Amino acid sequence: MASNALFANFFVLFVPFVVVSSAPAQPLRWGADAEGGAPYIFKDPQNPRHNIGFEVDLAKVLARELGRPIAFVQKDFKNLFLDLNRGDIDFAMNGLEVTPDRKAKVRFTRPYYIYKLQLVVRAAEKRFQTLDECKDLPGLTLGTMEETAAERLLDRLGIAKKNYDGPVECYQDLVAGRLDGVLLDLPMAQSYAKPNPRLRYTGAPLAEGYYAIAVKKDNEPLAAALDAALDRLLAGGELERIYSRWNLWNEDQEKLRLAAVADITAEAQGGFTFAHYFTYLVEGAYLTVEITLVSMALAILLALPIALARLYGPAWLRGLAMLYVEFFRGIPVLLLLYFLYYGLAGISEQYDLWIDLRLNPFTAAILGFGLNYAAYEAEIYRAGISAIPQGQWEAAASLGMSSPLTFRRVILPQAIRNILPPMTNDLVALFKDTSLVSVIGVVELNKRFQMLTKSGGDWVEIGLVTACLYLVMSVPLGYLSRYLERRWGVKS
Amino acid sequence: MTHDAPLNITLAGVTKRYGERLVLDGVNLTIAAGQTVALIGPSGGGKSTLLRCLNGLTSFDAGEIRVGPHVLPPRRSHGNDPAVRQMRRLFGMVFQDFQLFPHLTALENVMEAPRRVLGLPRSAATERGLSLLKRVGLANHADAWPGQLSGGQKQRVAIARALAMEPRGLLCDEITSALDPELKNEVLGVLEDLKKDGLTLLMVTHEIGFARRAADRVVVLADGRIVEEGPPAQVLAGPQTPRARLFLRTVRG
Repeated sequence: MASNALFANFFVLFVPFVVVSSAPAQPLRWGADAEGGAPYIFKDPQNPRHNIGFEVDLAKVLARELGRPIAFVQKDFKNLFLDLNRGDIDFAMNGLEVTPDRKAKVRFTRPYYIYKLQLVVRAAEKRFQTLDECKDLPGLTLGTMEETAAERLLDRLGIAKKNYDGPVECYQDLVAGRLDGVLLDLPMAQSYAKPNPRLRYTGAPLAEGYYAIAVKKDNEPLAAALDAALDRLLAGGELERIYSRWNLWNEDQEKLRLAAVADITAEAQGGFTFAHYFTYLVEGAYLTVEITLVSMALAILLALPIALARLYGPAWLRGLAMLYVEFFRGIPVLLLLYFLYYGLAGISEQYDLWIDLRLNPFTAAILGFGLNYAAYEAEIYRAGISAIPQGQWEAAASLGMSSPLTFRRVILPQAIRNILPPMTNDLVALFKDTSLVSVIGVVELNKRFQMLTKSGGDWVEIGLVTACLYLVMSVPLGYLSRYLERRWGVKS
Repeated sequence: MTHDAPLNITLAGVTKRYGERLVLDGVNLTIAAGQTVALIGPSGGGKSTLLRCLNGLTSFDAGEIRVGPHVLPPRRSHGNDPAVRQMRRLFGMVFQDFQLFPHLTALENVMEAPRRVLGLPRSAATERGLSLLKRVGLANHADAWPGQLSGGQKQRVAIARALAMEPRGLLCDEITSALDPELKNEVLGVLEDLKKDGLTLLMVTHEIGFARRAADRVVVLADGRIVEEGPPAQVLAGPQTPRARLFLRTVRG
């Protein structure tokens, strides 16, 4: 602390000089995630080009204190530490909780906010009131966000949890009945749960912790300057003014003045053992294969009638089939997954339907990829079938074979030889595309890899093991595709 | 093969248009059962279209085709139409480019229609297939894939395949045009055998030599009309009409 203060004093003297001598100063790049990020940083409802939030206000006064402009850079919340260490941003400020393993990776400034966690349930919830009661009831699942203190607390208490990328989806699923409760930081609950009459707080806020700004470990001058600036903003009452404006000031914040840096300098925890993470990854690989195969089966089942409708159907059916293909080929599968999972659940909530559209993540994933790939497969089938010469139809007709019989016995068996090689190719593509399903909460192989490395695992080692698992599955498929191509492929 | 009463073929005013173009212009023709008829004439004259009309692969716009008691009216070419089905049962068709099913062996090609259309049990269909392959001289190629056969062998399998449905006649559409000279003869030899068995043969051909030797009648079709017909010796040696004379002169070179 003493050396920090020394550095800071030096910096305070130094900064105005820099500004004067080499204006305009290069802006500091501030990384944060403005997606669903109230009250920290989020899109202004009046003007979506504009970000607002208490951290935006904080950044403004920090820029003034540092004498350097601060430029916001949109980053994925989960990847903030990676971006920081890669040098894409100069500092990350996004409600980042100070934890021991993070301290091993980055240099945290002094805390600028003291948060607590808030348990939120549906308004009608009667089964439990507190986190402790929740622990004693079997079969309950709480939602939280990945890479947060809330997630760690749930893990420590042994409460079943489901991870989300942002608070919006989390509370949405609670309303939809997919979750029994949500544990997140109080400021998030204040922004997203409190205004919703279907949700209510339960139990007192708990598990106090610190938000601090993360700076790259070797950028001590910047860290020290930020420490000093935050000290001044706190002492001058400016922090209190900003937090009060956002309704975030409470008596907990008084402790900011005491919160010694010593409190947040515990040692980092160790990594994972191979045996531990390998089985965890293999389970993920199994899920990946399962999603791939079931989706492909669905795609094949849908694609054949669509291809037949496009080839032989009456005009209106041909049009419908074409519409299907153009639509599902033209929209990103990610959008489709979001719609199937969150969109349908929303519709189910809003209208009293006879059918429950709140799909579980696995079903939504299968449907999404099945519908999407059916469009690609249908086009492959269509091309493969129409490549069979008209003379084959005529030869069969002259033998008295009906059209359906000809299709089944003469055309399709030949078309399959045209179809199989590109279809195997698509299977490999689908296999890799499945990593997208993590956005709706399916924890497959790629997601598991991300979670392991972000919880302190070795990037290179776990990355290699994950890559090997993917290759062990996809390379044989690739060989099969090339073999089929050689043997049966369309000769052009 | 057992045949009932012989069935004569009559075309009465058969007319076919492709858009503006008149391909068949009121063709009248009678073919007695068991006859071998060579259909010759310049390309684009309507020979192939006439053959395809007989088998319901192409519909015609006016006139009618009668085969014994069976009638094929105009504008019918759908495989589910009973009249079309009947015509296809009466005639087998052999194509210039063979159109064997490449994913089936020679024997399976021959067995396919008897099995799936007539519902013959496997053993009976195999027996029929083998005896037909023997008849076209391919008894020891039963298990060969089409890709392994020469052009002449392919065409003989195609003939066996057409015969497997026990037709009254064969419609042959330039079936030797894609073959080397030495391979043509093995195919034409098979046809001469079939003629001896009493099968009605209607063949579009450019083989003037074969027509002279084997045909009972030669029909010259040009510009959608029959310009001359009669015994080969008469038509080929001394054509009466200018159009037939012109055509035969170009063929002889």
